[in-house]
Amino acid sequence: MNHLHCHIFLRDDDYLREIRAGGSRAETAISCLYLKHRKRTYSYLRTLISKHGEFNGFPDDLVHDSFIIMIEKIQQDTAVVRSLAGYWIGIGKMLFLNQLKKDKRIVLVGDVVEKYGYEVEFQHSLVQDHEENEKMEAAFLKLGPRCREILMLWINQYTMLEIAGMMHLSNVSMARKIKYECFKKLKEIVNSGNISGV
Amino acid sequence: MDEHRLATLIDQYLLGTISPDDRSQLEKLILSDPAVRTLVRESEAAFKVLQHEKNRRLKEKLRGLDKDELMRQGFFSKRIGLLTILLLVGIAGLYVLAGYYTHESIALRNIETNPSRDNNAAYAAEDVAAWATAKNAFLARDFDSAIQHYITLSEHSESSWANDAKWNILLAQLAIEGPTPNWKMSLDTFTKSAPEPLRSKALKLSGLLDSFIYRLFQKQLRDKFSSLKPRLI
Repeated sequence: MNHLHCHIFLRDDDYLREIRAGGSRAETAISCLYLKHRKRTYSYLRTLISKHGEFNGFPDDLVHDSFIIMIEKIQQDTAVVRSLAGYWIGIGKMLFLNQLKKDKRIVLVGDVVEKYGYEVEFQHSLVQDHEENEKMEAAFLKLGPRCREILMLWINQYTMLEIAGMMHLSNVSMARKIKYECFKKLKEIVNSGNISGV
Repeated sequence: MDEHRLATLIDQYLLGTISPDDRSQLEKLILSDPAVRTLVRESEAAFKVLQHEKNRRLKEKLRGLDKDELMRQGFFSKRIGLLTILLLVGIAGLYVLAGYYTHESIALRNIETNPSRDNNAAYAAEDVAAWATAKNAFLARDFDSAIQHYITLSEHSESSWANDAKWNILLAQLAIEGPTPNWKMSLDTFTKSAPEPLRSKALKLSGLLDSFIYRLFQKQLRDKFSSLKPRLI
């Protein structure tokens, strides 16, 4: 297995490969990628915010949310990425502009300082439905610790073999069975809790 | 399609790892079979909960990384600050020490300002005035003039005055020219004939001029800095 370490000479392709691989490789790559470009992204988005005094969000949220969206898009394999730093900043900028538009503070934003090639429209927003979030968190907390752990490992794309090893299960079938039961339980909780679907 | 196969397809669909063929197969099933459609919708809703939790945990992790980075930066900036202070203190210390070991400074520290260990009234007023003039010239760093005045006083009938004047002349010469070979010979001669406490002072001065610290500041650092100074300027 090709494990990734935070090496400054790693290219974007290496990060993409590792993040798409899932599991522990992805976790390491995600941390490394964040540390590699965070300073530049913070700097850009802070400058952007400082130019729009009417924006009352926080650069931290903008940086974190745009990074999470980027990771989601990479994992879904939907993104054609030329530069990860540019992609991250582009998403951050779109989040920022969406937020301004939602607040109806601007009609048109004309001062695009730098083009990164990722200024595509998307529906993500900094403002989230807190009630919905609370419901989702409550639903997740209704699961037992073991179910929570196995489902988190599964969604982070650990293989069933890795999950069995990490959770000290006898074999892969056992891991698969427990995951199936836990996910079924979560579906029941979500159904009964009237949490809106996708 | 059996339940296990359907569950696997839905899992792959949710995780985004489904192949194009399987995806189209699943999509057909969703359209044709209401039970599958319900199952997929329920799975998507549950998956959304997991994704929310995953993102929440990732955000926490990112905050932790930010905190670590800030601490690391703080640690380095503190270290750089400390090193800068130490460097400045070191440079200031070297500057003070270099000043302390200049010939002028050594001469001014060792001057005999008050020759009459007895009662001043026992000496002529013009002698006292001449001594004061010589002393003032010395303290004003006008060493040539001080030497002129002390030469007259070195012929004084009172041996203590004469010895003190000779001592001060030596110091003034040291301040002007430094410890030249001739000056060292004069100091040796003076040391042999001088009474106490001048003899002790002369020996101490001789020891100082032979010491490592004096050589370091007067010779080595001064020479090196002299060659470096034009380049710095």
